[in-house]
Amino acid sequence: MRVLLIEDHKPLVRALRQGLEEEGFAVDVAYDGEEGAYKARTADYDAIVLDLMLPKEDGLSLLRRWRREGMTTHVLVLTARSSIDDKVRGLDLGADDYLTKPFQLEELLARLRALVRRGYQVKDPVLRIYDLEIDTAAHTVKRAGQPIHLTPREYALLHFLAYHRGQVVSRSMIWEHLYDEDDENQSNVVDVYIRYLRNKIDKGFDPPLILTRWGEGYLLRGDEQ
Amino acid sequence: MKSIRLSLMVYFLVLLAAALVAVSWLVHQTTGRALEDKETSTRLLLETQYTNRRQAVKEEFDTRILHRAMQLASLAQSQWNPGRGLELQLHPLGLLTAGLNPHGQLLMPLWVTEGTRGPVARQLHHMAFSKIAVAEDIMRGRETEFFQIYSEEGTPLQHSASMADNSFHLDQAVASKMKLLESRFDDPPDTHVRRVTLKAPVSRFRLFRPPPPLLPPRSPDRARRQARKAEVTRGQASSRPVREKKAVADKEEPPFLDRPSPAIFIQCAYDTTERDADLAELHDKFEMELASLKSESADTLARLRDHLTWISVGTFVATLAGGFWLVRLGLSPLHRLSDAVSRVSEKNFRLEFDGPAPPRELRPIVERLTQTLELLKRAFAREKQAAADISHELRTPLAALLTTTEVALRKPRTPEEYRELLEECRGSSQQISQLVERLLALARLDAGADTLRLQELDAVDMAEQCASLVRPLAEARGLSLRVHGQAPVCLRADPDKLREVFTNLLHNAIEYNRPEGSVDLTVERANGSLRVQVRDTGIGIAPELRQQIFERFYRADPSRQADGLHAGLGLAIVKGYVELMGGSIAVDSKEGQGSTFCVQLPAPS
Repeated sequence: MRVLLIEDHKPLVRALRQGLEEEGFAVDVAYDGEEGAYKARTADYDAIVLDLMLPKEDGLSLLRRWRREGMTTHVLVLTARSSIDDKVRGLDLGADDYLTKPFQLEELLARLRALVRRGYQVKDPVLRIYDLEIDTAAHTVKRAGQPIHLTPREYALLHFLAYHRGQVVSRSMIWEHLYDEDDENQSNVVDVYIRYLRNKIDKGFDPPLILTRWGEGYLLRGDEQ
Repeated sequence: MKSIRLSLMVYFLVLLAAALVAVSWLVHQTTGRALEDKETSTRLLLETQYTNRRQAVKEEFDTRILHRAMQLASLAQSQWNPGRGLELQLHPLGLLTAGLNPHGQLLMPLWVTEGTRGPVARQLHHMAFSKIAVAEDIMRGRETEFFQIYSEEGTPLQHSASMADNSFHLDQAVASKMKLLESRFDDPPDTHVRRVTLKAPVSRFRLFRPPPPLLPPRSPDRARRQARKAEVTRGQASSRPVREKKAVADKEEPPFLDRPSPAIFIQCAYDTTERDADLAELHDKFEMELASLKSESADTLARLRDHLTWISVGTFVATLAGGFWLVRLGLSPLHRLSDAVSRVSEKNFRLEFDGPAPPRELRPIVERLTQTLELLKRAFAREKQAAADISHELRTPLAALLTTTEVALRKPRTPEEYRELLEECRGSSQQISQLVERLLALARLDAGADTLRLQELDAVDMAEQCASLVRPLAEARGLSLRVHGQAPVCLRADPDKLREVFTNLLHNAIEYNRPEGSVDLTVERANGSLRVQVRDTGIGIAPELRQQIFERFYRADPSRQADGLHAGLGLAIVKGYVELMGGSIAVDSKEGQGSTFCVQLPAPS
């Protein structure tokens, strides 16, 4: 899942980025309003974490403009403004969630996960595909009741595929959602991770869940396949 | 007093009570005096009446006595005179007819002597008149009536039966001076009678009066004319010789001939018991009238007092009620003002005055209140903004600190990773600490709790120190930092605060400079003061912002807000410190070329 973090306080950005990345998020950072607006336009993010008091362009005006332009990306407002008025105004302008500083990292992560689930219209935090269970909250995966250990990258890939189950996702889509702007684009990285994932999930289990559509991409087996 | 209404009422009522008392007292005094005057005049009238009545009673009594005496005198005369006057007048004939007259023999010598008019005749007369006797039935008199008849010599002749063995006494000295028909009243001592002494002639005729001298008849007209003529010619003295002539003529009358006719003294006295009772009754009546007059005026005065008291009490009570109403009416604008003030809240700083416009007396208060509320509103907004700013400035590094800590603790890490994360934590903590320091500095300035710790120092030396402190920062941005000033510039100042001023100004000059620009710090003494100038080559400050930059949390460029040092407090602290040290700070700027901050501090050499 790819997140855009628009925040001008560098120590906080550094800490948040590390925390999010370690949770499996791909994180892009913008340090002011203009940069944030630009990045939000150019990439497809699963969620945006937005500070309100930003240099150059205020977070609220940014939000207002996005919503006016029809952008549907979920936005979590993260700000030091803690009054009810500010919260109401932020939510009324189209924010999906509101968190005030200082906050607990766990809470931010949970809220982001919830936002992502909402983006894929999923309510249950546990995704079930055949005998595969993905607990999005605990980041654990089981196949036929057996726990399977995945690296964060493998987990993120499975997670992404699971949200798009039954749909072919192209390599570039996978790339775009699992890697941030700083990662060097290597097309075979996706294939490599698909292979790792197949080894851990499909090997020794039936039916195979990760399918390849040559020339198109990959898909996680849906109910009809 | 705690309540205006109460104090107004009390003062008003005290005033009213005083006025009522004064008016009542005046009315009472005036009426009292008028009543007294009336009483005095009435008493005088009563006294006069009383005296007159008393006098009238006495006079009437006296008149009765005198009448009685005269009646007695008349009776006494009548004992003697009937039928005798004729005889006496015709005494030559009487002489001839003596034999025929019943008392002819007795009168004979008289008639004989009358003709001679000598002492013998007189003696005879007296002898004759000493035999006067009033009829017994008359002399018996009434119980309360006493009388006594004396001869001319004072020999008692007769007295009334009522006197029994008592007798009056005729004072010879007085009697001799009495003229004929003169009466004298007196009250004999040790008796209850009023007495009159009357000298009455025994005869109704003046027998011994010589005939007037024969004078030639004179026309009265002529005589009058003569007199008038004399008056005209001799003026004032005209009448004197005539009078003298007359006096001489009177004196020339022979003594014998002047003797009065034989007389008797009649003393008549009435018992005064009845009269005294009348007088006493009169006196009692008078006393009663006096008493009633006195009590009447006392009553009138008492009634007046009552009336005044009731009027005063009534007025007081009516005024009490009316006063409460009036005071309430008068205070109603205050009530409305109080209501308006009580409606003021942190959400609404407007003073909303219900009903008509406030009265003239309250207008200054309302205006002042409105102004104060406006100031308060602004201060409130500023305070609110400051609180929000402070919370924002603190929350962000705190969030960074917290997030970094949580990230560090999420999973086991290598020592290097821990070190990195701890460094991050330290950075955030320092930032928080600096911010708190600055906020505390401002709070101390606000509270006036900041004191100067003065000591001798060299300003140029200090400028060099501060410059060397920020030089790495300037070099990192490619700026040249120069210090101008000839050491030493010595003064007594607080080194910590002066250092803070230098550092903050230098920081700002570096922060808001253009790349490859320069910062010039000049320290010099001028006109007994220390002048510090910090000149940069930055973007400059618009004229309308030159006062705002000294406000708290004001940031010329919000993009720099998040790096901690620039929370918009630096210049506010600088200004506070400079003013605390008795100096002033000013800024001069050309947009696009740079700004110059100039600090003046008192530094007597």
